Amino acid sequence: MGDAPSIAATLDASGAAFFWVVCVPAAVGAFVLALVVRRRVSRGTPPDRELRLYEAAMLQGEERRAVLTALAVLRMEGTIEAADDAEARVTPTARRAGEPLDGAVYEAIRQGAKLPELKESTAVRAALEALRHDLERAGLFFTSAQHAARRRAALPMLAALVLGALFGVDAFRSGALPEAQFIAGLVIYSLLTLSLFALLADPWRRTGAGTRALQAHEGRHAHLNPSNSPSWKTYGASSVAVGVALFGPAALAGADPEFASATGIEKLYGSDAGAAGGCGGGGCGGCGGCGGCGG
Amino acid sequence: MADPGADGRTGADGRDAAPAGLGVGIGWRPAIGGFVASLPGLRFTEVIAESVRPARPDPALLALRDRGAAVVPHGVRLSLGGAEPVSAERVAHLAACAEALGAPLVSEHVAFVRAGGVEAGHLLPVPRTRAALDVLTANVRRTLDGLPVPLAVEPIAALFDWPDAEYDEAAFLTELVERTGVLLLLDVANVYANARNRGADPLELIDRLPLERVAYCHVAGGEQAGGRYHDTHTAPVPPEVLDLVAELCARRRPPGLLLERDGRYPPAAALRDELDAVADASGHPRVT
Repeated sequence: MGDAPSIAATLDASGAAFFWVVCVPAAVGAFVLALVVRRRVSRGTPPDRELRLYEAAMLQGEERRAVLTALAVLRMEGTIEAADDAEARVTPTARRAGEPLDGAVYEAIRQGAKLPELKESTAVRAALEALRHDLERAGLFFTSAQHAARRRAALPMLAALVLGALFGVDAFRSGALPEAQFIAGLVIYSLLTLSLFALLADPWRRTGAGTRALQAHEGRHAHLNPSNSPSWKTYGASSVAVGVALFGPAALAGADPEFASATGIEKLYGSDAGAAGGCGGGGCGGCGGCGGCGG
Repeated sequence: MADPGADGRTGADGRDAAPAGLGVGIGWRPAIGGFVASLPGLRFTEVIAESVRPARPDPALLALRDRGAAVVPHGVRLSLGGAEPVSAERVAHLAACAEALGAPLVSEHVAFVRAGGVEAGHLLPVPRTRAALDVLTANVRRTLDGLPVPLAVEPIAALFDWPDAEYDEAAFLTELVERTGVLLLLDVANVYANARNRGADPLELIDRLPLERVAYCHVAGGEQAGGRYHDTHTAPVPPEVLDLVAELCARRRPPGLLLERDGRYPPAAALRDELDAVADASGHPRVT
């Protein structure tokens, strides 16, 4: 390799100029192109109806949130209760017909499944899989073909990064690229490489339509956000499930603090919503407490 | 003051006019914001002014405003009855709330909540003396000067009265109104609570108040505890308060009546029933 002419020399160009005028813009351009192509692939189909409960849960927090929402549904029905050792058990209350997922979760609990293992139950897994397929068909989750297309969109970027990196290292070793410029290039390429990994891993599941539908749904139910200390008694049991689907375990903890505390559900299913409890900032204001306003 | 009636704020007598056609409303609280928004006929609500960020009000309040409902900022910490001059910052906040929410008026209490730098954490009654009335008058005038909309002041439910009173409640409030032109926010539940605790007839007070200056009324429920009736806003409106609403409206129906609820919220159906009961007692249309 030592006697071989450098790439820069072969191209008969100034190494630094070629690196900054061709290599870096090519990598950045490929990144932008990848984003544009992915955006086209990611549009999805806007739903022509209100999101259903488990659709909202899946869009918001995927399988984990859907299972938590099923627990909220069962708890609000009164068909499950807290048991010893931070677990849940079914109650004598008979279940009415529900959705496949809450039925599967109920059955798993009846058969003794522990709360952290509910997702592993065959019937629960099947119900979650069906939900995911429904969302894909509805254009709210990416299909595997869309994921593949999104990943393919990043391939030109991969090529541009590899070629540019090879040229940059070669130019640096041959002295055509000063050290300061090499370090600057290294920083840019590192950032682009991290972005490339994210694009290739493609952990996102919601389409653009899915995100917009979820945001609209959240906006319509913003009053159920635990940061508002919602009055669950006023909104009713069905709203608790909607609150849990959209805002997580804090909603269940606000609606049923005994169950949440006994099962440790917030820790188990993560607390990712605003803090529940407290006065909520409005009604208790300057009256010096909720007990005796006088105003 | 501007030409009477020319600015839409003042009446023919040159004083701030009571807003028309508020109807029956309910206090907006974050905990029941979704319920309030769901009321199809709602034209009137009230929000605790101190909980409003004028630069970025809660979108739910803006949605109510945009659908034509009057959103009235209701202050609880201005301390109009305090010995110190009312805080210019707090008046400015109240004014900013009114601007942000497009409010037709704002309201506060005839009370003090701090003295000598100590926050009481409660609404405390003002002594009904000439000296206290002078201070209250000055503070109300300062507040009016800083507001873009009329102000309505609310007499509170007091569990005690200061000694050596020089006025009874009706005379005190009437003179305040005459001196300042301020509107009244009459809390029917407070009138009931005070009369019950003092062993007086609530209608005696109502009959002596300038009812034409009432901008709107509060209605709420309370509880008997420790030998006294407490206006807690956490219980259903008792029949006696609804009867008092009917008596008041038979004399002169106020432009609006607002149900106050600050905790232990019932199911939506029960809240709707309470609103209907207030509407039926007052003769205003139902909003549910």
